[in-house]
Amino acid sequence: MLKIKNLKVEVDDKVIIDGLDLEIPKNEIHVLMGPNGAGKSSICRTILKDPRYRITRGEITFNKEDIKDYTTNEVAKMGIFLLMQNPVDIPGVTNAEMLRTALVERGVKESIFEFNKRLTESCANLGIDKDFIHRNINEYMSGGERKKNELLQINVLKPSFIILDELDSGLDVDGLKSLSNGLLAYKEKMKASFLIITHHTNILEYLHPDKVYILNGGKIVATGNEKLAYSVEKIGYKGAFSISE
Amino acid sequence: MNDKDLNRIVVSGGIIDWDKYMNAAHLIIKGDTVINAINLHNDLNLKIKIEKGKSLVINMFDYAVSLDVALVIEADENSNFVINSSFISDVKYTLNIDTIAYGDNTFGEVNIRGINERNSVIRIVMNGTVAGKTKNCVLNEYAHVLNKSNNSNVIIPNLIVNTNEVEANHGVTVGQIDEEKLFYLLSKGISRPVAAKIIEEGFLLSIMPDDIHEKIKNILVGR
Repeated sequence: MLKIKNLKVEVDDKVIIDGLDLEIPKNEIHVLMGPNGAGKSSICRTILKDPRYRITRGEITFNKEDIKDYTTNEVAKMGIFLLMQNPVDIPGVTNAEMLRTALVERGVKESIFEFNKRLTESCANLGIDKDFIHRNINEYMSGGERKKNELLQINVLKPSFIILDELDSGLDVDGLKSLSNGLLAYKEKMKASFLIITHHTNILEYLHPDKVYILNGGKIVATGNEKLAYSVEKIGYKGAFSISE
Repeated sequence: MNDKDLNRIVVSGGIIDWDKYMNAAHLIIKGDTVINAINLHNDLNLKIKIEKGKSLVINMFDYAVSLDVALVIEADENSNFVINSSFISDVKYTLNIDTIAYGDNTFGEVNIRGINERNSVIRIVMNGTVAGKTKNCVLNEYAHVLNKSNNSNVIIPNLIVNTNEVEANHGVTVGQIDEEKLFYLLSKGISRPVAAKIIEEGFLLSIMPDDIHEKIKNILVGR
């Protein structure tokens, strides 16, 4: 599904990722952990082709297609979804308006009635108030509501590869559990893959990873299974780095 | 224009949709009133007096080549007013809003959102006066312009407060489209020009009441 090979990325001529290799097959959950400034969020932005993140070496392929010349919206249309740490608010623009536009851009042809029906059903399935769809994007929403909103978008746009950037940020225990269950149900249904970016293991109680990577200085310094994540929680990142050395 | 040149009109209240030329008038607001002035395409010169205890909301939207709008609002005691003005300017847009609170317990707010579409000249002057010896008055002035050209925009938010017991605020920005908001929509699979258009229109609609959004969106369809 997603393959990253010998990746080097620069922002404003500063190297932030150097020599990164990753391979995430279909229907798997992979986790990228690392201390602040390790380059975790930079990887999200690079995959989503944020123009500030310049790929100077290596390649990223999605379903065997090199995304080098693709733009952010094209990568999203291929099926990659980024659930951001702090989704921004857009005053004056409703969720329904944004989702309908995103579907039209994907070539989906459905009447406004079909669209509304589908959106209402998605809200009901996710236990989200249907008024949500007519609220402005993330405006006056709590951290938990913003993440729920993203879950709704996932269920409507149906991506096959989902990046969760610090999902637990701004979420309480119940919120994290509820959201994780929603994502797990989506994975079961769509056989989607996940790349989870996190500092902590909280989320791994619900979304059990197939593989865990530890990132430092823009490259992977340790790889393992779920146990690696829990060891890091115990011994800290410095301890994990010394083991990998 | 002198006061004697203005047509005196008494407004007893309600929701009024202006869809025709309305200029050079002196409005006396005697009941709670909402005025929606959508895309009138004409210069506006209005003097408005809000009588004791009454409220006035004006929602103005214009997508225009060149306009000159001047409002003078006088608020008597216990009265409220909110002026919302959104516009897209193609060549020249001049907006002068003078507000005078001369009674106690007034609330006034001016919200302006403008887009400088292509090398337009925008000039916004807000003169908010709170008269001496008044008490418990609130006056806010906000103006934000999205600049899509290299031209300069002038926004002057004046607050002239002649009393101590008052809450007065002003906020002004001139900037370009927020790259984070743009990236957010791009990451949902929306192309750059469409995403920019959505954000810009949301910016204009954000100060307008929901019930007139459709009307404004219909005007912007061909943009």
